[in-house]
Amino acid sequence: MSSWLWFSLRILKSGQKKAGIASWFSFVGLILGVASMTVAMAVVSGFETTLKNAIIDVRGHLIVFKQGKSIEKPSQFESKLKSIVPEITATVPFVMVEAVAAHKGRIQGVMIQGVDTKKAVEHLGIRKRLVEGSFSFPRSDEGMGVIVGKGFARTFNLKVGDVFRLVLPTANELNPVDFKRKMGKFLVSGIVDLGKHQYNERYLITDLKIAQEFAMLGDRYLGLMVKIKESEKARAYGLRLAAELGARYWVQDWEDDNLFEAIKIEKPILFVVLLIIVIVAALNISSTLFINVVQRYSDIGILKAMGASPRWICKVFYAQGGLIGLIGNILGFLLGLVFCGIFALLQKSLGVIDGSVYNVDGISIQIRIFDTFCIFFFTMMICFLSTLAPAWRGAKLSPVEGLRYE
Amino acid sequence: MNNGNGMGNMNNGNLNTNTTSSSNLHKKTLMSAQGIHKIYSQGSGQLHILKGVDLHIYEGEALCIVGASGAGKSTLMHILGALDSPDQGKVLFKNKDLSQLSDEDLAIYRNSSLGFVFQAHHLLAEFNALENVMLPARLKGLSLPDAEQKAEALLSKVGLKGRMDHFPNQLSGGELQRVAIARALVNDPEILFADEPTGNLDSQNGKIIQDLFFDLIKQMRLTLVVVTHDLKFSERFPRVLRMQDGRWVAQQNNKQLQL
Repeated sequence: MSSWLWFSLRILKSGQKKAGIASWFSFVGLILGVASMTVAMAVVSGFETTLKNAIIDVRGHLIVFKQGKSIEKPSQFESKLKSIVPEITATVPFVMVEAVAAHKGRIQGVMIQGVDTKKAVEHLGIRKRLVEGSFSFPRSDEGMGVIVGKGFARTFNLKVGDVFRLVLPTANELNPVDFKRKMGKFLVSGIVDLGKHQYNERYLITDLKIAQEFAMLGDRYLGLMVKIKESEKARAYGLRLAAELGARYWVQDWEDDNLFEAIKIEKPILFVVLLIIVIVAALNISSTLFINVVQRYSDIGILKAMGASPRWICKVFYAQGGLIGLIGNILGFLLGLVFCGIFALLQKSLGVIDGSVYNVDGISIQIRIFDTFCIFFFTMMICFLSTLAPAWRGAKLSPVEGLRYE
Repeated sequence: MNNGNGMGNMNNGNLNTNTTSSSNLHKKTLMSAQGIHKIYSQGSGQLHILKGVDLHIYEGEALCIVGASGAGKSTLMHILGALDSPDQGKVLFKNKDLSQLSDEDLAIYRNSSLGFVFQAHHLLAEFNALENVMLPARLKGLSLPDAEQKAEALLSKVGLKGRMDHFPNQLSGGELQRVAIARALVNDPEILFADEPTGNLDSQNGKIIQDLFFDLIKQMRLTLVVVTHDLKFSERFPRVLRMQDGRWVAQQNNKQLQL
């Protein structure tokens, strides 16, 4: 072990016994700063992931719509897409129909999403989100099978096996200002937690054929939900598809939700704002180290008389700042984990997240290595920078000046 | 000529410290100071502490510098030990001009070639006796076990074998100074500088420290430069220089006390 590191560790070990209350407050400030950043980043990252997973599970990475009536068969359309983006791993044909749900005096606008059941089971994540019932769409006299979001089930007080009606407004060819309505009976075969509040409140999932039949679409479908290997490349692939397919096609990727744009901006801002806590704590540490230099004038003098070079003195102070930063980082991170645990617990027991406000009904806390690295790196940098001035002051001190100081 | 204090001649306030002792004629100069001036600013005025001091220190000699408080002897010792720099003049160690050395080289010079003992022990309060003695060795680059071994041997030599893990606040004045001496010797220096090493001690402990100095320099064959105003202590040195008002005023050669 280098002499400066040995010395710094020794000083730090004995220094903690006689460190003033101000030093401890600075250190606690640093720990709280790191903990706050850890929690904030974990919550924002968790929010982002929760939202992303919900969208990808329900709609895939990309959705390609075709405007107008003529569209190729799903297999042909898939081949066409794969010829543009070979990284496409699967596609799921779908239709989306807006309707009105009516049950026991309540009515609400809903979105019926009809998907190829077999492909949806294989490539989408809806089935794993089932909280009650089964992922099946039986047809019976009672009604056609449908899976409903948990919010919708709660609003209409529906349970698995219950039947409700859907009303579909359709155009009246004879009178453009009028519309006809088509009614259908649906049987709740399952209840899902689709992750996103809006989905849970409005989405009804059913088999493609049932949706086509109800909406009188024949075998027409709206487009394909597309899955790719790397979700982060969805936007690039989407742009490529849009450019190649032309104006009659419309491509949407999972990031099209404005919330992701907001998160992208908010996350670094939040990071910087919380970093201010660490900066303030580091300034306090710097002033503590300055006091340390003054208190140790005599010690620095004798160290120099014994042959400590200015560089060695600097290293001792850098090491002290580094060690304070390292310990602060570790303790702050651990405290952050505790706070995250408490947050998760509160979320579970009290439901602190209001889905109608935050768009998700619950946030999975996510500690990302990159976020943790950024917190660690910036905290260490700030702690190191805070030692520069005291270190230079100590290094510049002439030995005789230190020895005279008693 | 005798100046009444049993001390030798002076020449216009400046002694020729090069040609004083017949025994020194055969010795090699280890360190020399040439025309050293040191001036401190004090408010609007200036304090001229050293006024063109010359000095030769010979290999293996024991030299004592005496003088009243404020005479400039400690300042001279600081300059010789590269703890301070002269405003004029130069210090040569083995014919190397110290003013030409960088801060890093000066640190190496102090660490490897010099040992210091001060009136106040200047031990680090958070370190025990063993760690205090180990410090210069660690600074030199010795590994922890090697430094520890060396420090233990020296502490045993100064009679503190059983007090190694004691902290400065658990040691008496005499013990503290013995630890400081061990610390000064841990890197086998060529010159040991001691500034009033017995100044803070009672006569009994002072005597122990004095004896220790002479025992150690005999054993270790090093050069000793002591600054003191204790005339009794100075009588034990073969060569004594008296400083007054920043100049040499007398020199005494105690031939009978040759080491």
